[in-house]
Amino acid sequence: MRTIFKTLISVGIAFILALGGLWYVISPQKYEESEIKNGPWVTSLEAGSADASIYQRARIARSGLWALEKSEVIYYVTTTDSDGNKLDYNGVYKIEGSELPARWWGITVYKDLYFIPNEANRYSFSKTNIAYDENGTTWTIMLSARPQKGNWLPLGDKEPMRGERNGDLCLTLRLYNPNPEVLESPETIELPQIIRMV
Amino acid sequence: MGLDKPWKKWTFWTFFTLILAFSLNTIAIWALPYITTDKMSDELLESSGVSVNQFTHVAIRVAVDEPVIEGVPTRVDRVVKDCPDHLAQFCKYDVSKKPLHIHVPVPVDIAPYWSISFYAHNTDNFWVMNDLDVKERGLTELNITLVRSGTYEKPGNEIVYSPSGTGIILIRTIIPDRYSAEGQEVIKELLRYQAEAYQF
Repeated sequence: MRTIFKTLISVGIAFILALGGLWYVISPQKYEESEIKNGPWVTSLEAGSADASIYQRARIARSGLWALEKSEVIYYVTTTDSDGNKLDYNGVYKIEGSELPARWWGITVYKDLYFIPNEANRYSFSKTNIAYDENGTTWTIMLSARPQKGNWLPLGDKEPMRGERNGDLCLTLRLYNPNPEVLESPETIELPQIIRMV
Repeated sequence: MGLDKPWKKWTFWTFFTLILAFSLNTIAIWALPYITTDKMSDELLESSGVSVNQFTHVAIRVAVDEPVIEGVPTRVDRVVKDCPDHLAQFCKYDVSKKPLHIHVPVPVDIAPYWSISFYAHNTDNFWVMNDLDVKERGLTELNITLVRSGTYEKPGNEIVYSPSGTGIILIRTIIPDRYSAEGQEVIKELLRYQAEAYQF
């Protein structure tokens, strides 16, 4: 009887430890620690590939299901600004960049891994629709709840407010058919800067 | 000098628990992609009203109050980190008993990017072809036969071997600019590029 009781206790503890371990392994923090970094951006060349480890595959299943392999798309993600501070849903950010080394690119904002509902139905800017600065070579995206001039990516939420505006923000930059230098040195190519304004 | 009997018992139960925890953790990590694929694909099939080995209609998948283009609900997005610039078509395949034949018209020189990609049950992207590959071959449509194993021949068809009996197919078309009038016109044209799948 005592052995059965001890076995049940042991299995229970093992189950809790296993689930805790799973949660840790697939957490965004673990992803950011273990993959390739370029400023605030993080990427993995194994996303979507058969070369991915079971850990990478599990992380991708949780936060980027059905990713394309690297020759088709390189996914850069960030949950922080360029100073390393966590993106704040109540903040105002300026994202500054220039032409990116890929056939096509798009930058999208998510809250808790999903689109942020907004009146403008705007979730992304891309190579096709971004308005360039006056110099014609750089562009700026404003990320905020309040409307901004130019390329405004809203952090608005049409749902009724319930106190504090909470949520984990994440930016994803997709490079479609990336140029060879992206695959050769994904940690050094020039990527957009994310600067907190307010 | 050996351990006292109570310490031996504690050591045994501690090791037993840790080994069991590690084993369960590894199984859970391994199984997560399979479970996620099943859950997401079943939800997508249910919401779009198609069955296994059929493509959903071409649709723009977004989370908000936008008019539904082809019968897919837009209020609740199911796939995490979906791309708002995609027109997407989805198919859950089962080739465990028979091959699946796929016919796909390709919008060559119309969209900034197009691809058809095959994913195994464990989410590995084991085969992909984009519009540039299609254009290089001088084609405007693809005929693909998806096979589980063994040798298979179908003249004129691309033969693709699936590492698992089931999996999913995604066709992604980038919309040039969904917010502009010209973009809307291109979307109308792209909506005509409907893939078909069938089994004999």
